Amino acid sequence: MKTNFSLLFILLYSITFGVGKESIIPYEIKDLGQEDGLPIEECRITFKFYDDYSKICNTGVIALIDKDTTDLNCDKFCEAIVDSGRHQFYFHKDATSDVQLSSTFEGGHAYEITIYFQGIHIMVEKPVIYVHSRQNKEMSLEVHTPGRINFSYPEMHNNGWSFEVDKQGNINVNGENFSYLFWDGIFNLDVIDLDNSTSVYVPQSELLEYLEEVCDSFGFSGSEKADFITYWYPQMKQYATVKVNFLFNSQAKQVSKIKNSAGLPVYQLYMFWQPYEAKHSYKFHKVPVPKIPEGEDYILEWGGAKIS
Amino acid sequence: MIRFYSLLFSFCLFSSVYGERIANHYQIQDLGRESNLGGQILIEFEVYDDYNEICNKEVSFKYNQVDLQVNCNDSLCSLLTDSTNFKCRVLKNKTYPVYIKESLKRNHKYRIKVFLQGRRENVRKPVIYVHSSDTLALNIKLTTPCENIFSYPQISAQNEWEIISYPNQTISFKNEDYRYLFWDGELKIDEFDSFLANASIIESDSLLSYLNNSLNTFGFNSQEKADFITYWFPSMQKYPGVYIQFLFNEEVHEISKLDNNQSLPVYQFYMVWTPLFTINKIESSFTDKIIPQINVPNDYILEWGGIELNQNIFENENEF
Repeated sequence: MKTNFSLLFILLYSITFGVGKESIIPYEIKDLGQEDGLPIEECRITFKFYDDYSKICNTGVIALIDKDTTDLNCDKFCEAIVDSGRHQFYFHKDATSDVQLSSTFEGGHAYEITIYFQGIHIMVEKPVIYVHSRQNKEMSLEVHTPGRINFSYPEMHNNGWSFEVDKQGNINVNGENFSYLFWDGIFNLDVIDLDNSTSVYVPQSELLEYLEEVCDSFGFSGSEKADFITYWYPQMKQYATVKVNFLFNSQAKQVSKIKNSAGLPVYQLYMFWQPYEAKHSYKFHKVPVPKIPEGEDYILEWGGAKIS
Repeated sequence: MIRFYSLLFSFCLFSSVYGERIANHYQIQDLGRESNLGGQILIEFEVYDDYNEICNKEVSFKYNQVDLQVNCNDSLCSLLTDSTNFKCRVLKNKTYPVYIKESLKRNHKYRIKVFLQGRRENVRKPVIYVHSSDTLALNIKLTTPCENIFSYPQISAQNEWEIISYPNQTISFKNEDYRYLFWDGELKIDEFDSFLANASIIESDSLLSYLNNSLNTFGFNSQEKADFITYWFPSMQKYPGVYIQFLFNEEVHEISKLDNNQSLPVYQFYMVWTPLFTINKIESSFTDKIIPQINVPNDYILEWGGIELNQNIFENENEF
């Protein structure tokens, strides 16, 4: 049997991250040569799928060959028989970037295609942390996150800040006053569980009022609400409809866990949103919003991300 | 000869991405068969600018980076082509290109009206702080050529906010407290040739300290500086470098002019910037533009804002 191993590395595309562009090689095609018993007009292709952590992930993959959804029979290993000639492949796995490839396959040959799914990276923007205290207080605070912290202001040390807070909420770090502590970070989207059953589809005409309502219900002050609205609404309002997922408090801990030396309760509101093409009719169902209890000192954090 | 006029279609697609817009807008009319075209197709263009005025002589027509041979006068541009699958881009400085793609019939004459959209950029996050040593009832009026303004809290129909400012820098508007007044909008940039004319090049590693120093010099306090830096820096730092030009005080008035009934001095600090994509080593270079230093009085108004310019407005049209 004539064996011809040729390895094709093809740079197909680059993924845009929140922080610039990185090139990746998303697949590899090996020609394993002629296979005995395989009709001359057919090819056998076996597939291996790897996730962002270099682990085999043959389940949950949607494959299209020449635009037709194809069952790769992945019980033992994933495989398809195709006619010889040129074929297009498209692979989708949730929370990763789709992979597309096109190649020519010689009749009677066996091939192995390895797909490297890359996790979708998002920039979780503007988490800002406010401290509400009825007395002046010296304290420290740490952010623990599965994301990679990109920027903080004032600058974090050892994942956090030491500061003095006054009754007006001024946070004094090294002699300078701030209204909030800021950080942002890059996350692999698959570490964040966005429950689609709690997605809210918001038409543009209702968006501002709805965001205000959520902020008010949660217990944002006027200034905090203005910080939230003036950051997010200008980006969101240009779309006819947006799909929004809120993560409140315990749900938000998958993004950021805040520990503080004063033992203050921490309330968090994260908003993940994306433009929604309203091809089908949808209903604007609001989700219940928890409320920060009154009369106690507390820490508030909000943040979010646009999911492309 | 049967002459028929049919409006094939009018086509309008407009999408907007924050900081980036793509427009495609034209109408085509089949003016019927002409006896003297010898198998070719005659296309006449009328090109209108953002002010709905004909601008035939200021535009170019390209396909695959090559100029098409189009003869233009004040009323029409004419093109003879053999291509029944006609494609071209219509380009004018500081407008969005219009892409034309049509199936045409030989020996027919067509009229295409092209409606160019002037480039617009988002003036982002202008925020207005009020410093007052006493509680003040204040009217602040915004004058701006920007369109599609969003403001928070909402400005009146006369573009005014009626507020009470307190010595702790809190602004009260309709019984709700704010740290600042916010507005943003879209600015037609075709009248702003001077943007980035005196820009500094700042490499990514020096950017934070450059912004910090500039804001300190101008007189921002630490909270205002944090608002500015946490808004702009994350979107700028991802590039190898940026071109930056600051506009100060009167220089900002073409974008935003603020008047107030208490005659408080108004200080304005705007940043116009665009990314530098070059991956070769970038060395910072500074212009000699001096940042004015405010001897901060007790009572004053401070506004900051910025514009991220779409890079390709500076590209030569031949690069489209």
